[in-house]
Amino acid sequence: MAESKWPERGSKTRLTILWLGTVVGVLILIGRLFYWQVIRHNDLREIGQRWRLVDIPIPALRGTIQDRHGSVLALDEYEFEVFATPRDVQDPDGLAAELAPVLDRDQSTLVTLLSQTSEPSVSLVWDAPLQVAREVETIRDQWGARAIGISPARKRVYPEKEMACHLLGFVTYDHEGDYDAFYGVEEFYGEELRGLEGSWGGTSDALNLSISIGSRNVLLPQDGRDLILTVDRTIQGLVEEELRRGLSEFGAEKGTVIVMAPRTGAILAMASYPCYDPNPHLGQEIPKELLINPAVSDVYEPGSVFKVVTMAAALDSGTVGRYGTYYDQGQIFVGGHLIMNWDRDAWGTISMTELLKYSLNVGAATLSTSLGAEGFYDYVERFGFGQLTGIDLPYESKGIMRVPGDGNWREGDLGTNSFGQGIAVTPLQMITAAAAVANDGLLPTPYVAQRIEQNGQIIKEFHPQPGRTVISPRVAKDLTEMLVESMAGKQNLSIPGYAIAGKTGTAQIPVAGGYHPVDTIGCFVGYAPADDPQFIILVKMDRPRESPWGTVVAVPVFRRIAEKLFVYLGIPPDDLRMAST
Amino acid sequence: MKTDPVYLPRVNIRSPAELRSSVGFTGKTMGLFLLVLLLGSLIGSFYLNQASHTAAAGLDVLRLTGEREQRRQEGAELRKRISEMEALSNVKSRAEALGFVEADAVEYLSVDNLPSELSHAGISASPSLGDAHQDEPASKETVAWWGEVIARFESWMNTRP
Repeated sequence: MAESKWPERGSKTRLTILWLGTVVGVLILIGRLFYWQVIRHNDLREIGQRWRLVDIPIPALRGTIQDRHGSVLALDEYEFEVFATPRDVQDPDGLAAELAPVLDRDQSTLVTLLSQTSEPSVSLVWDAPLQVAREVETIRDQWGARAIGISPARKRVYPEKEMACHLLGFVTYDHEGDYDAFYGVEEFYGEELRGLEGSWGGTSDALNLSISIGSRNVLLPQDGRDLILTVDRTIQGLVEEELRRGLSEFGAEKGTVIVMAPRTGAILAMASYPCYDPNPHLGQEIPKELLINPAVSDVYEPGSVFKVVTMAAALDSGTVGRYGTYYDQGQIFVGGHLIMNWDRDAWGTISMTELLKYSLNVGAATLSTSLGAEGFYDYVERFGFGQLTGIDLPYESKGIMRVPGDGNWREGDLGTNSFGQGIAVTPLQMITAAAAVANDGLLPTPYVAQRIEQNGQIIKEFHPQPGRTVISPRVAKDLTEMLVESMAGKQNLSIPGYAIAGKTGTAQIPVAGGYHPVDTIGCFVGYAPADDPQFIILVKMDRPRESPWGTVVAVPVFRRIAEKLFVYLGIPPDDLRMAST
Repeated sequence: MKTDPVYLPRVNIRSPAELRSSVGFTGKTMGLFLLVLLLGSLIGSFYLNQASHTAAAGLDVLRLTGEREQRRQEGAELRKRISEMEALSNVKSRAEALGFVEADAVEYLSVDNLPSELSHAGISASPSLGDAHQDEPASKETVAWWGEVIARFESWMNTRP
């Protein structure tokens, strides 16, 4: 029997099935390939790049803040986080034994951390200094321990600690992990101080080692610019020392001192107490009320210091002459409001200089009512009250001032405002207004930044702004002489050889329904040398316990600061100075 | 008995001479082949050489970038140490440790014929506003006296009872 040349029908079926199976298998394969290489292309590419591409940020250092002589008040340093990837740790016990003395951590704690293989990464120390980071690098290289990583971060350092804390502000990481500035010049000049972060981007292999010939993108960081202030660190230091001494001596709750160059408005010192250390500390919580700069943000009723403004207005408007007099009957009604002197006494015929000397409220109210509401408040606004001074610090307050036309202004305000009651000002507004008298009638614009530098090159320079005329130079000179005369004989102010122009003030503190029966704010503003003022100082002491009077609590602080400033600034006594010119 | 035809593969038997000519292993071809091989090797060597140099340079860049960052970190650390040493409290305590005391009595001496620029050297608080307020009257005493007379007259005119 001949063999059939064709396969049997059963074999044909098997072949067909095999063929179909193969086709189906290939189709499935093609389908899966299509799924992974076309549909999932972007996802896989991203995953691959994530594993392959490395993008390491290089932090930029924030610019330094320096005083006018170049002493550093704030700068950045590096601190390092030491972390580990526990899955890659071969010998947790041995590694922990090496790291424990370097990181100053308990060995058993480190062993526990290094053994947590369920965690992708654990932090061993987050604020190690440079020296420790280098030692960890050495250990890592010796052990070949790729599991140990070191990540640099910036940290703001204030070498002078509490000094000028309100003026400087501070820098820290906010809740979102951003390195940001709050308050003071740190915030105001944040854009200039902040640098530009760099980055190092490249490819790495499976062992996370960089591939040297892969694609690379290096962006060098650009450090921030340096800010040079008008503040003198030495003056700031002595001012803070005397302020603390005064607060302790007179039992005051808090205080503020500002020192300004009246010709230019440059702030030489600005101190408030209580203050805080802006250096970041773990677990540190600073009460928010401490962060605000009282010198520019807190308002208070200035009291009799404001009589300088009233007298300047009266003299400049011609309402009264320098040698003019008035008859003091001990009381005066203004808008139905009874105004009396501090001692309830009637003083009889009083000259303008005596009005300042004895700080008579009746006299001040007489002047303001003679000037008239329109004239009086015109001068008050000219002196900068009710407006921002324009200082380059954040959160400056305009103060609170009612003027005719306001719904809550009363005619009685014309009387009380004349001696600094019923009007709220900031210490900076008060010293700036007094500086106008010292500056021949020109209102200076206070400022704290002198210039901005980058690598020693001046990028931007801030010049004193020309002041607007508030009173005539003649009136300013007369008023200065009156202020000197009014202060003559005050034992606690006298500095032999120097003529000082100034005004004391004792202000009541408003409370609900009126004024506090006991507590006061004692203040003094003065400038010297009177004929050619080089500095003006405002001292404000809140709620002193030893005495309520500004002449008792604020004047001694002023005198001690002024004595030191005469020496530090090399200002000889008036007779010697005038003889040499 | 009839059998299926046997299909045998065709075999083309050639002579050795025919074989040599069809394959074409002539000297020229060999030379060309070797030349191509040589050129390919040269290009490959050149590429490998360049790649290795690039890799080495890349490693240098990595190393130098790391070193640069280390220097920046060390520079920042040094600046911090300097600023801490120059801190006012530190200077003060060092001065006290060296026996310096605060001056409590200052005596000024007047020096005749001192050059005018030196007499203003110590006053550094206020950068000048240019020539503002620098005008000096020819006779200060005369002006002051006359000004006082005018002021007293004015106040006498304006005095209120």
